[in-house]
Amino acid sequence: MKKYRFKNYLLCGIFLIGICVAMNSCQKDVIIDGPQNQIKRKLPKNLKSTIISIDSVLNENKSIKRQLLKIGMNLNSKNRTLTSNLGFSIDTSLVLKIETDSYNSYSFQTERDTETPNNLENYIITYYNTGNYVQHLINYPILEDGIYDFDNAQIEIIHDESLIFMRESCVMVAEFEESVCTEHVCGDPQGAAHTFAQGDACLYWGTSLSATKNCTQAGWVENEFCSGGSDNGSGPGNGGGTGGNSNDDDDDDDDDEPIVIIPTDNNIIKHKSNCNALNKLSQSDEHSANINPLVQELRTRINEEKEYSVNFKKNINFGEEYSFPNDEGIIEGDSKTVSTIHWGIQQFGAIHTHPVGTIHMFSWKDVDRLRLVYNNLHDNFTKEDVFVMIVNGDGTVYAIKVNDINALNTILDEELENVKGKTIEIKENKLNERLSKKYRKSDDDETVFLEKFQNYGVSLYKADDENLSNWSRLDFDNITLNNPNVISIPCN
Amino acid sequence: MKKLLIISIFTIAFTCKAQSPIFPLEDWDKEQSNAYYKDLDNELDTFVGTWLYTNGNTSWKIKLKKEITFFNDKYYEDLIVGEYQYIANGIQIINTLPNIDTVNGYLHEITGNSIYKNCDYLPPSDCIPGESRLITSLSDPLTGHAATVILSKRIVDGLETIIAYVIFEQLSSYNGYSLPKPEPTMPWQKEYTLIKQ
Repeated sequence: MKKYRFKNYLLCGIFLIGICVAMNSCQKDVIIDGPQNQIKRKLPKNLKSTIISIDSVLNENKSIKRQLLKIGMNLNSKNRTLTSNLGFSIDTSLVLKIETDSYNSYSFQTERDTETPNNLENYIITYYNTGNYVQHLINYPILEDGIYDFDNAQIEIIHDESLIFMRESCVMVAEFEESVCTEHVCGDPQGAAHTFAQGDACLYWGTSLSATKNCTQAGWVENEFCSGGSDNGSGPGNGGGTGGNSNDDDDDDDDDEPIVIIPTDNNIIKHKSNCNALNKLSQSDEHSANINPLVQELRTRINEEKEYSVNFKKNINFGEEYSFPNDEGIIEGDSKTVSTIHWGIQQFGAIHTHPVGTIHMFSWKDVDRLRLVYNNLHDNFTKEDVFVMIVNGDGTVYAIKVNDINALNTILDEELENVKGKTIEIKENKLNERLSKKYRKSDDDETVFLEKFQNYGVSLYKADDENLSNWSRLDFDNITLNNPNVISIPCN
Repeated sequence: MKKLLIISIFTIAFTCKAQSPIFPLEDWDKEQSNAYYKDLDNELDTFVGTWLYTNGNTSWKIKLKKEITFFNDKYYEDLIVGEYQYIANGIQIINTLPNIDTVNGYLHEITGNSIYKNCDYLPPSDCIPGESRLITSLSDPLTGHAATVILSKRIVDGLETIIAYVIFEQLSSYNGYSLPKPEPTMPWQKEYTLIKQ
């Protein structure tokens, strides 16, 4: 019996050594030398990046469905995150799509049960026009100032059949050379209509998603090097990279196209998208809502015995989206705690007062109305523009934005389901009053709001000045603490 | 006998252990399961009774009573519950008073137990800082509207009175477009002075 066991161990050992040798050989076959072999050439002109929904991805690319299923992801799940059998999940609330003449890639932010601090991980699947595909897992260390450390990015290729991470693999790297770029704020990167193309005036790129970069073409370079390898590892000056091919058709020239990578951090992208949307509200061009004069007018009503509100709608004319206040302008509410928030296929937001003598923070119903506005706005309009804003009796102005409508719908519906009440009004009033009691008990409304809604898929923003020229997202510094502090994350 | 004694000791010990911990009503937000949030200072009692507002042919009568240790499926709490009758211009619009002893807890049309002592939240016109105001919810079964009712105790001309500040909420289904806008059976926002009967 012992003999058999020993024999089995021996065979198993030989088999594993064989696999290791084979893998090592394969890796060596594709190794390209490090920094000394770097070459620089311009990226393809028709580079384009958009942020799209998972539904759009699955509709436009049937193969990706098979691919995700192969790594164990249940696409029938209604959850925002899909869990793979490779130890990570992907956040499907946002997908960064990069298109070139020869491939389309889809980048997802991953999640793991145990998060690595100061690290961003992306799963990227790239389809070449030849029909070949490649999957990557990229880890970007995040430096203290929030910048992604391209120099030390770790790249792994996923071979879905064998589910083997090929560490130390060598890749072609498309890198952005920052020295020739200047940052400036750009349009909303999340809106479907807002895309960028190489050479455009407004580019959207990695190290600081707060700003986009206006770059000369010389800013786009391609470096070839090995990432993560001990002998041929990336040295200073190298960017993160990608490459490889999971199919056998390695000879195809199109598959040698360098793959552009952009760190996909959904929280940051959403924050910046929210900031852009809020800033856009104050703009006075024909496409924007120009809210500032109306906010000023509402400020004059904060001592009155009624709430006042103004609602905003959208229209599309010759493919251009326009935002503007409803014709009725500012309307008087029915009481000190009631004003009308419209929802419908064109309505995308509302501003209302919370007068002196009321709670100067969003009520449960305000958050519920936000989701109603979001859900009812027609899909042809930019949903990321949806907002609810309050002008308070103490002069502060806050806004709430949707980050994850599925989470918001699910949690609010659950709350309504679980609270007792004969009618929906009674249930809503109970939930409203329960939150109001917390506000009344605390002297820190911001903390109460964040404690209540931190997992609801909404973000809280506060105007930093009277002119609404800058907004800051309010969040907890560390939600794992018993008494986390509220911090401001500025938009600009 | 010895066995009986041991069983008794154990039973008493377990019974004591199983008793609900008691907290002041204002600590309700801890929402500890099976705890008892008690009106320790009997502040709710002062609002109990039948109260009447009259103005010509219009009147509003409310009956309030205190329910002790009402279990809300999660914890126990002391609660003010009540029913009301509203007559406008001599016509009875709504009367839920017969239900005062037929239903319990949150099935009543008026419920609440939140005592608030500052004047920064929906104060009555003569708010006194530090006074105990009771914040309750009122539902309007005819229209579906709900309202916040804030009660402040007063003595006027030697009579026990309460100031009730009633503020109705919009219907959840109202999206801003329906005409006519659904109206509650009582005014949207009004301050009433009610005398104890």
